[in-house]
Amino acid sequence: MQGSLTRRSLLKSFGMGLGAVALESMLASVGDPRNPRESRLTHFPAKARSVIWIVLNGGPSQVDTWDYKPELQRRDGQMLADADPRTGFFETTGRLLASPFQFRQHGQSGTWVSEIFPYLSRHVDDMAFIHSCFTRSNNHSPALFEMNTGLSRMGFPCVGSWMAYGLGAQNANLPGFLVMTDAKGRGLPKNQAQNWGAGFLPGIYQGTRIQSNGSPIDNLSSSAGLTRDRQRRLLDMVNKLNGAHLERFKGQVELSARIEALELAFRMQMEAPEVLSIDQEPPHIRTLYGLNHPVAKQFGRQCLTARRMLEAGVRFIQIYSGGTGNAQSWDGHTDIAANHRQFALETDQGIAALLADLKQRGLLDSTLVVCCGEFGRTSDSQGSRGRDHNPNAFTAWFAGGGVRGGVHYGKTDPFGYRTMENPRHLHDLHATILHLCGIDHERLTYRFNGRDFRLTDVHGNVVKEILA
Amino acid sequence: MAEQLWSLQPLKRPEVPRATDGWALNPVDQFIARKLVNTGITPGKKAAPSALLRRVSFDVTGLPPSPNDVAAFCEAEDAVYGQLVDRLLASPHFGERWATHWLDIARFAESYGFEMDQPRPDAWRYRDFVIRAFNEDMPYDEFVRLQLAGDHLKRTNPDAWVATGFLVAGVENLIQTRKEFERDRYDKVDDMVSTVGTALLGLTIGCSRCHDHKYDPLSQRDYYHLAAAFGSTVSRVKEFERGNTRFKSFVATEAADGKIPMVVVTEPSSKNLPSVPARIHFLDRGDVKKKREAVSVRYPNVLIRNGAKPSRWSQGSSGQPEVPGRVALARWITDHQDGAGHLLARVIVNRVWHHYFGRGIVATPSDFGTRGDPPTHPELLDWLAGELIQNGWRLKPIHKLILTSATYRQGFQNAATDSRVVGYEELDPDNLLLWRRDPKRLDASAIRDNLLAVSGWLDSTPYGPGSLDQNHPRRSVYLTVKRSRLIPFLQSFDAPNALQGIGQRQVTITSLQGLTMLNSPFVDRAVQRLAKRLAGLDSAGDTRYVRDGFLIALGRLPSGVEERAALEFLSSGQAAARRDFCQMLVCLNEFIHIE
Repeated sequence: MQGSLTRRSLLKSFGMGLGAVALESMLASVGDPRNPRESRLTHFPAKARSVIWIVLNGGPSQVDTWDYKPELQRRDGQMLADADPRTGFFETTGRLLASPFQFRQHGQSGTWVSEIFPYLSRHVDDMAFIHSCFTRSNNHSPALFEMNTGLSRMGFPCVGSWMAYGLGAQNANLPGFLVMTDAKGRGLPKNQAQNWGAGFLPGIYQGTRIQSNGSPIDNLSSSAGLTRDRQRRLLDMVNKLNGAHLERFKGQVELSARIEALELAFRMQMEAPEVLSIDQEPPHIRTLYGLNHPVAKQFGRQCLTARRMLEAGVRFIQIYSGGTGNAQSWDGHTDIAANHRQFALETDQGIAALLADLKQRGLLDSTLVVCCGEFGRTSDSQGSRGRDHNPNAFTAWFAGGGVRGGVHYGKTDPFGYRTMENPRHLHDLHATILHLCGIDHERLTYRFNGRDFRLTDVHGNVVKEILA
Repeated sequence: MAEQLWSLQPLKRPEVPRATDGWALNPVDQFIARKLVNTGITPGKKAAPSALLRRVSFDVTGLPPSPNDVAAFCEAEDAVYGQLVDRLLASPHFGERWATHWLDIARFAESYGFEMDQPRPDAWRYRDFVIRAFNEDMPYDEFVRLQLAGDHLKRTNPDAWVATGFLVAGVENLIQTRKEFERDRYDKVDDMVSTVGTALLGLTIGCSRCHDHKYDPLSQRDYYHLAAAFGSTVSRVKEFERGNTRFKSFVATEAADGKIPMVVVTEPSSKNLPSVPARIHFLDRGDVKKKREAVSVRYPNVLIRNGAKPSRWSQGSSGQPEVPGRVALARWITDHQDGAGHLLARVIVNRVWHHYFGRGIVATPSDFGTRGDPPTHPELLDWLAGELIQNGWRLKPIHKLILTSATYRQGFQNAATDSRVVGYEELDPDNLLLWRRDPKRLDASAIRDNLLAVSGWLDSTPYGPGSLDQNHPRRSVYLTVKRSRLIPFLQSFDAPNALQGIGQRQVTITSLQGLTMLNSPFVDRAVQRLAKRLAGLDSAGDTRYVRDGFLIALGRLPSGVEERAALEFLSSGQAAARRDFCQMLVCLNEFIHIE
């Protein structure tokens, strides 16, 4: 605590301003009457209290998912007139590749949906699509940074950390920002833990990754096999001596906060396994999420876990579909049909179940669900059946709190190759996410190395057209 | 405006004030006392001997005192304190401790970062260079010169080459696309310029990459002129020979033929890779697509004194051509007469102060610019910087001055036992004037090393390749820093992520830290060993067991109340009570704090 002693300076070291809530609620949870009302420090009333961000890691193809292009279907094999060979990571042929999937219209909105999303197609009237997204990088690693932090370089805080910093915790027994990665053992996304890093924000705001195997949170149970009673006894003794220690350092708030943090750790051992355990869910819910489907069950479990964490008060949850290697993610370089069919099969049912389940519980209105990858894919082919990276056009969708369902915003050209109308960078998506959570992205700042940083750097405009 | 910034002014050689008799032990105290006296505060009482011993041991070596030390020191504190400081500063653990601080500033890691995060298996030699340099008290100006240009300055000395690991320690993307290659290259240069700026000069030069800032003393033009020194600097694994042994190290060197090739590409193909000229161009808004004229190495006007010409630093010895840009930069940055040396000296003495007191004389140790904090004791800062230069840039005398001051030896002043303190808290609530000593949490490395040391598990082998296993019993400075596999224990207690230089670690309070201390296998192993160590002493009875436990883990004996409580804890009849008692000790706030 850099030698400071006042409560004010303690809060200051937590990042001043909004971030103070995290500590407030921590103190509050142990019987302090100043329990902050939720969203007390938002800039304006929040539509969403929590965010679930589903990352289709590897770069899903817009023209094979949500951006239907009849012209592309008609002109399969023809040359793409103004193809830019520097668009992709590899080299592309310049020949248009029609989507191998059938599209049909769904819902009141008449949204065209690829056949690979039979479950999600039932929810299009709750989803708002931004078809004109772009990133600056055509390479996974920097593009993932861009998606998460707004900047393509390493070392900046991701959107989840900014959220946790800005809004604080709703449940002091759990981290405010949780991350789940590929549950089929295909590894972490490229950049690994840096994707959910807090950058220069205080470390408490980094994402806590729930592991797919073994203990979901590190050190959640005693490696020495201590019973709860033994731990309690040990902690009582710790508290007794800590209390005497504290007497010698009257006014040192950090010391008492640390005493509380240890108590929270003890309680988290109780609450976290409960939240993470989906065994008590009734059969119809388990079926809804596809837990008996051999391919869809892993991602379905994660979606169901996300709902439980959300109910327990976690602010920001990110779920990654797909792992490290190209072929083990939505990175369909060689065979777009096989790749996307596989990954859609894994995820479609779980995501749709999440939307349905949140809705039936009345939680969708206060939850923001976001889904996209780090970039899109080329309309011309790579090899005969693959598509390369395309940073110039991709689709993101939003659903839930404050979002106008069934909207299609922004446009790509007739082949889905470039954005044509209302191009939107990740900064704009970030600004929109913060906005829906009651935060003005221009006013959420953190001083580091002499500069006030924000998530959107000097950019960002809220995509008002998708707001309810 | 910017020219008037305090940090850019020449060093003053202030008179040492005579502010107090009796309390002050050396000039440092006179500077501190003057402000206290003027504010109406009486300087604080000395810390208890056991607290002081523990503090100075951790501060200087990062390790706890041994139980024998405690007994000896508490008997004859005043007589032996000076010797104790000398002994600690001469200990090989001093370099290990202070290297940890420097490696933070240098964003040191042993992998490339980005998606593959390939290892740099030979990068640890730079870490050893830093430890040795601190242990041998290498003059700081030489330490800086070697890190900036050792490859040129001492071409036949492998150690000098190894020092350049500083420049290339940052992240580097080994999977480039043609589209991004040039931007990656400017990012790499930016990483070097920015790190040199914050680490050595306390200036956020990197902020000027895209445009001028009203608040920055350096302009965008200054940025590119400094960047030019690194235009042809690339990383390389180089093989060296010393005597009969050959070894490799990860170092900086100049690119061949004045061209920067696109780096290793693992996919899609490495055929016909492009290269760009090594010259650095001024970039409009920092955009590689908006290149303007090529720029040469020049120094910011605000850091040139006495009308010196840049040729002063760039000229070769008689008849020789100009020296390489990095050599010239190294000369300028260490030139305390005409170049930036006065700032270099201020920044490093402030860093030393920062680590001893938890807050620097300038509270933003890597930002001496207009947006950083002004110094609380500007004259003391200048005096220390002047002492450093006068001592031939040797840092150990500065350490000793601080450590032997009454200011450093103060204790906490408790409002509960001293009625004047309430008034002092009104006058100076954040203790900026240093009228008392606040408790300080140990950093991640020291907490881990403390667990190893008190449990008798520590393997104190110095130097050499590291390990990625957090259960390896060597000191934390020897754990491998792989950016994608940071050591969870250290991460949990706020070890930095080695992406940008950090002069001041965060101190967070999280429940995950609590879970680590309660449940992690590492802590369990340490606790079991501590229990065994205690049992192996002459600790047949519970009383002896409790006393030895306190002495080893906390560097003091228990109070009467504590001893009774501990005995009651042990007498519960539970078989595992002794083990749990040991875990209780390491879970205490006191275990991870020094006072």
